[in-house]
Amino acid sequence: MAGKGGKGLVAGKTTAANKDKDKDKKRPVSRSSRAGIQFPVGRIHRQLKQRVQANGRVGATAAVYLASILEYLTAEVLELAGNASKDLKVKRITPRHLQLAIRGDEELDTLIKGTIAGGGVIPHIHKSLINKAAKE
Amino acid sequence: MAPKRAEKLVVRSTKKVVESSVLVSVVGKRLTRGKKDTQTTDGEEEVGSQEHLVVIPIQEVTPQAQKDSPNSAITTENKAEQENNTQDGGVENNQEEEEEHEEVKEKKNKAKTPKGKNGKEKKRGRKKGRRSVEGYQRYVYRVLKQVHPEMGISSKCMTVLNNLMNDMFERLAFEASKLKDYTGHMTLSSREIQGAVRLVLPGELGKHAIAEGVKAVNNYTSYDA
Repeated sequence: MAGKGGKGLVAGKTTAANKDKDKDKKRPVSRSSRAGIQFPVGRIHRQLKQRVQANGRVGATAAVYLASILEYLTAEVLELAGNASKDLKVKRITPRHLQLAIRGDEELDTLIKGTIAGGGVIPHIHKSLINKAAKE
Repeated sequence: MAPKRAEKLVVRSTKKVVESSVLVSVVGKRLTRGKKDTQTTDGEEEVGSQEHLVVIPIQEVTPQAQKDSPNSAITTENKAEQENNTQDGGVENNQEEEEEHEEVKEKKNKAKTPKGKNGKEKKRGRKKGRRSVEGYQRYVYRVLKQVHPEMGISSKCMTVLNNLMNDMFERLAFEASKLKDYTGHMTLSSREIQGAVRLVLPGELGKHAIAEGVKAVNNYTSYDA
């Protein structure tokens, strides 16, 4: 019986040592998950270093900040476009819904001045073009 | 009566010993066939008593090369070929010509095998993998599932959003780079990005964006593994 007890003690020591080793080894965690965002911090950091003529000197927080801003803009546009598609009772966002969402928001309209492919136009008829007879 | 002679057949046996060089000895003999057994008659002369020694330098071939091109590697087995020739003098000439043809074929086969930089043969049949084009598609889709879990998005719409994100990145990076140059700093930090956001994004959109950015940076700096 004593032999069994001794073996058990030795085994317990080895397992404890293995657990300590496992704790020492840390799994790699992405910078996006560290910052709690979805957009790729590492990729944006690399692109900033390629883009900016600063001898490749880009701070670590710059990429995190920029990724979070891009994610915020994406979420804002997608939320409005999703609401537009819900109003039209469809479950897939199309360029038309994007156009309606962006042109319907004043700040996004000033930010995105370009044309959206396949977006169409906002329905609008000037008052002076409407006949008086039609009004009556 | 003596048995009728059948057509004259020439058997050429080639022995190839693979060493630093290959010795090929060619001996031509004329054989006759009887009705039942193959016998040599007394009156016949042995043709090809002269031996032709040809030295062919060869290169060592890797086992992969032998698998890929079995014709190019020289085998050490004996080969017996039967040819129908009637003239004695023509036998030796034909043998010499065939040996020359074999040498030329071997050289061609060696030249045909494509080799890489290190002399190893290239692997055939591998298609080039598609080069992955970087974009924001997967991240846009994740955000969409956070905002509207039951919604989908068309490919054209995804292209529009991808181009929008690239455009916003260019605008913010360009403005931040100019701010860095104006202030005389060497490093692009979150301070320059924040200034660029204030300049590029209008009104409440900019304020909310700055709040999101500050929150993300705080999460990043205070992260404990």
